Amino acid sequence: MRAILIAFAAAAGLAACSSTPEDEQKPAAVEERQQGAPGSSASTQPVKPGSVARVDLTGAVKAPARAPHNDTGNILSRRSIYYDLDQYTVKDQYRELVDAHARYLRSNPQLKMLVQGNTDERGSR
Amino acid sequence: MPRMRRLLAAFVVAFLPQFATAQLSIEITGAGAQRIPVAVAPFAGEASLGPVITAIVRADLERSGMFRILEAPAMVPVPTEVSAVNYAEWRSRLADALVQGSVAVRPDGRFEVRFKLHDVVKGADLSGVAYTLSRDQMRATAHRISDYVFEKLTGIRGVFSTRIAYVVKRGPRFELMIADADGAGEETALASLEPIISPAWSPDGRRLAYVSFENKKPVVYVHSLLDGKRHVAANFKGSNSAPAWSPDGSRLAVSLSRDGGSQLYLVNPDGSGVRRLSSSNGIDTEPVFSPDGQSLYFTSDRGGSPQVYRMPAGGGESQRVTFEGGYNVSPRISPDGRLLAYITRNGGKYQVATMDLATRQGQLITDSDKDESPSFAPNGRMILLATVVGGRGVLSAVSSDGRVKQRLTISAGDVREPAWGPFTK
Repeated sequence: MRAILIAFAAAAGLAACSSTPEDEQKPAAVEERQQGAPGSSASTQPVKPGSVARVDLTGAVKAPARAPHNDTGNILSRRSIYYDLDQYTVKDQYRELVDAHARYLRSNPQLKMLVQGNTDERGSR
Repeated sequence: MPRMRRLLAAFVVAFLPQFATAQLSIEITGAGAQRIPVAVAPFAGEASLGPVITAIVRADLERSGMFRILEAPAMVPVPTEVSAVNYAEWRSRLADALVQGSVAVRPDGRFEVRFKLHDVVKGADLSGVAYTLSRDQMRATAHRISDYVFEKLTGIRGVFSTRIAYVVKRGPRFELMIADADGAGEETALASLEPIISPAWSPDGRRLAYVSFENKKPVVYVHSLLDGKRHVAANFKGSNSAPAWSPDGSRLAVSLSRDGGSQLYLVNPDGSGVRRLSSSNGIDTEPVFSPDGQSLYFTSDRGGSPQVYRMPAGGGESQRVTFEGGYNVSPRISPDGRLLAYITRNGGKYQVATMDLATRQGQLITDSDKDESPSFAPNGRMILLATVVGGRGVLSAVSSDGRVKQRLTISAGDVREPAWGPFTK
């Protein structure tokens, strides 16, 4: 191992006059490229840190109002209704909840309700 | 030799903090059958730049699954791109190729990185490149060196300088992230408390189209990465989803439910000129253009189960493409137009499959579950996808022949919705 290393170091050290195998091609030149300089060749476009501007929408959190539908003791604060896989019938255990929301909406016509469907992992996401 | 060992150990330790700062870490879980043995000698003088060029080039090549990195022996003096190469010595070390280079500080404070690639088997100099760069371009330069070596040795354009987009969910926050293809240099493009899904890179790599629920409903936005400017591309009554860019960047294909069920439409990226393309009695969604811009592939359940279909990009008759199995969704076409990648249900698992579009021969290429959102690297060699491991969302990359596999995980968060960006000029 040591012998090889020394031989190797010698070869590297004597670069200028090291023997060259006959089949070795003429060394190709090192191509010059400017990285990111003005008017540089089209082949380089550096990705600079900070090249993506940050847009933050998370500051816009509204303070929750203390309406009946936000009162945790009220049935109206419950919003989730689960269906069985591949079924669309509201199960008996959720009928009271649906009825309560229906009454609340009917007596508060200025309120709007967003109905949103979600799925779980069964099936592809 | 013992001294060498110690030196190497110090070298490795010095690098660990560099990689620990990268949010996304990559683990190689499978490699190609035939890997080219390559030695990358430590770049002479790279300590002046924070000695990472060598490490990044080695990691890039290794991660591609097409190279095996050989340990470089100690050489005195440290070789540079102008050093002569003892090809017989490297042949005895079973190297097929060798990279030697140097880093120098210029009088103006910038740096010069030079390297040469050698074909050890033929005993030939395969040329090299010199770059002038500032310190913050060091990573980009290392990736360019990797791209050069990769292309010279495989004949395939490298993707080490490309970027990826993905969505990270941490607690209630959703963040649309942009990172280098190796997961480093992560930056937040958009942070929101509502879901962000379906990012799609514009062909020039400067903009992303995606769906954001920030207004409590799915709306398609187009977002310019450099300045953060964004505008609505589709916000009609109902659902606006699944944007895909035409190859010339002049159109977006989207799925809209404004006229009833979800159907395919074309819209200009500025939101004008909406035009309906499909008219089926099912759900038509997940459109994607073929690379020649002539066709749209998409998912539809018009036949009773979700399957991949194809239609002319200007509208017209659709043809069903997938027939095997009861669930085939999320089509993507390789950049050369020959391969279709999609998600298929296989015995209760959702996995990535490819289909040769000429022979219609299908092949499963992952063995994971809950795979979704496949996207091709711009050279067509790898497919990036989201999957679930240990209950957490992770990204995975698999070669289009299924052999090379990598896993990209993120600390303390779910990562999903990946999209591999285009080549940048």
